This record gives sequence, C-alpha cells and structure tokens, in this order.
Amino acid sequence: MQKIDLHRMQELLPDYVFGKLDNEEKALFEHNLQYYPEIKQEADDAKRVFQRFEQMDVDAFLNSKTKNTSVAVHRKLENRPKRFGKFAMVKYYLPIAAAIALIYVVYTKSDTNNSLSKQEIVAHQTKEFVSVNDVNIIIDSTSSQIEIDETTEIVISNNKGVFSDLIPDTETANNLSDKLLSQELAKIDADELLITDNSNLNLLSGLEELDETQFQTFLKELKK
Amino acid sequence: MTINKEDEILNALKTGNYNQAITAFVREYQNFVFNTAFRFLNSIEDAEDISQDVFIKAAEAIKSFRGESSIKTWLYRITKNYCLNYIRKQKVRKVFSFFTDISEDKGNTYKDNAALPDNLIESSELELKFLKAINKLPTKQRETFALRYFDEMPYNEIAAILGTTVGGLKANYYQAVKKLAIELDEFKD
Repeated sequence: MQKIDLHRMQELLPDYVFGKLDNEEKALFEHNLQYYPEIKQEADDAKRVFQRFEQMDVDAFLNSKTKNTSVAVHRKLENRPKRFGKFAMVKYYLPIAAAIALIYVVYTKSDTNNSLSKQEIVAHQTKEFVSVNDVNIIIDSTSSQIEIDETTEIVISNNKGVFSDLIPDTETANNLSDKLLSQELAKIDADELLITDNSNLNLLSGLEELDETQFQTFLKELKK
Repeated sequence: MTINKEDEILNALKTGNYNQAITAFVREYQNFVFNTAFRFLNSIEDAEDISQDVFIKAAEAIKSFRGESSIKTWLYRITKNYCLNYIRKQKVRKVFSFFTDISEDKGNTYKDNAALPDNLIESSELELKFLKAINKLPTKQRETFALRYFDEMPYNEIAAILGTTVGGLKANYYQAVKKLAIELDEFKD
C-alpha cells in the first residue's frame, strides 16, 4: 500500500474520525498512521472527544427549538400585509404622499415669500421709499461726486429699511434695493447740473398705478 | 400522501397544495436553517426569529428558484444574508443605545432551564457547549465543519457555497476538528 504525504493525511483525518471514509480510503489512512505519529495522536484525541458528542442527539435538540417554526411561518404568511391592499395604502402610501405634499407646500411658500408683490410694496407705503430723482441735486463741477454719494447714501439706507420690512431676508432686501438704485444712478448724467422732480421716473406714484402684470414686467425690465 | 423529497416539495410549492407544501418544506429544512442562523447569531431566540423570516422569504421566492443549486445551498445563502443584515442592524442600534433602553439580554435562553429535570439540563448544556465551541471557530472553518458534520453536504457543494476550493475546504475541516478537540478536551472519554 502506498505512502501518502502529511497534507493528504490531514485532509483525510476528519472523515476518518467521523467514519465517513470508504473502505479503501480508511485502509490507506490506517496504513499510513505508522509514518505520522502526530496524526495518530490527533486522530485518537478527536475520536475520544467526538464520541461523547456522537452520543448526543443534536437533531433532537434542534427539533426542540424548531418544533413551532412551521406554525409561526404559516401565521406570519397569513398576516403579511398585501402590497396594494387597503392596509398598505394606509400604512405606507398615504404617509409618503403626505410627506411629498408637505415638502411641496413648504417649498412653494418659501419661494413666494422671496418675491416682491406689487400689493406689498404699495401697501407698505411708498411715501417712505425715496427715489434719487425726487431729490433736488445741484451738481457743480467740484462737489458733484460728494453730493451724489451723500445723497445716495441717505436714499439707499432709507430704502433698505423699507425693503427689509417687506423682505425678511436682509441681504436680499439690501441687494434688491441696491439694484434698483444703481439703475437709477446709471441714468443720471454727471454733466447735467440739475436733477429735478421733473425727471422721468417717479417710482413712488408709479407703483401705485401698476397692476400685477405690469409690476412683474417692471421688475423684469429692472433686471435687464 | 406525505411530501418528503426535494423535487416533490418544489413542485408542490410551485403548483400544488400550497399550505401543505409549506409545512413539509419548513419541517424538512428547519433544523438546517436554524443551525445555520445560530452559528451566525449565537443566540437561540434570534436564530428562531431569523429562521421564520428565511422561510417566509423562501416561500415567496420559490417560484423564481431555478434549481441550479440544491435547496440547502439556496436556503443557506438566504439565511446568511438575513443574519448578516441582522448583525448590521444590531450594530447600528448599539451606536444609539444611549437614547433608548435596549439592555435586554438576548443571549441563549438556557436561563429558562431551571424548570427542566437535571438530566435534561445537563444534556442541553452539553449540546449548547458543543455548538458554542463551534461558533468560536473562524468563519470558514466553522461553516465548513457545520455543513460537513451536521448537514453532511458533499465537499463540492460546500465549496460552491463558501466560494473556496475543495482542497482549501479539507484544510479548513482538519483545522476545525483539531481546534474543537482541544477546546472540548474536558469531555474526552
């Protein structure tokens, strides 16, 4: 009978211990034990330990733990909610739909708050909102820059206060105010000596007469 | 007529008397699934719960079972996935455990053995020690040992489940037996 290597002996050991080798393999293993005393010792130790557990009825132990499994499975299958039944609608789909609706409402409401409406501006009393063109500015060649700056500073700070009341976000209010006023300032020709209240644009009274569509158009024009 | 063969069970689940087929299916594989779950979870209570979920999943998915592997292989994969998901959820729960009181002990239920006769308690403890010693093995050694020793699966099937070679399996099996012999030396005859 041939001699087999240590690695092969180790591969055969477990099945030998548990009696799973066929007759030929068993004979080969037992023949080679003489060459590997450590393998013989391991096999003997394993057999003595596992003999104790072979007597133990693991299946009976497992059966005691699983005897009610089929009943429990049947019960769970019967109680399982159907995906598209009424229960599923109430439990799953309605809350999801409600959450989506809530997110949509919050989003559209926050978007509305950020936009100016003509009514809000009018209702907020335009008498506080001052246009640069409403102020008499006398510009001479030496002091024009200073006077323009001082005047615009007053106008800008006053208007920012108005816009801040209309728009909760101070930064947005300031930005819009700056934008409107810079548009106004851009129309002032520095070579002109006088800007009177006969100038072309009076935002104050003009806004009162605008309807919603006209006001939106007005805002678009400002942006341009 | 009792249903007790793999093919008959499969056919019955797909086409026949569903309730009877489910019962036969569960009874045929409940020990295998439970034992597998217990090895991953080390808790009898958790293994029982997971076993039920595995069979429910299997019952729902049986129509898509193509028969390319054995039912045991298929059930093993489902059980392993459920167990690993469960373990992951337990880890997340532990992270937030200071928000809720989840101090309940979900270990083995052998504390309930006070009502059992002594010989039954001793027998149960021996089996539990044996199973727990197996659970201490590294994963591949543990699974190789369990699938070969308890379920008597052929090496090539175990290799397919564990994604390893037959040679590697046999080496794992040898190491597992050697370690268990040392671990359980106190029980030597």
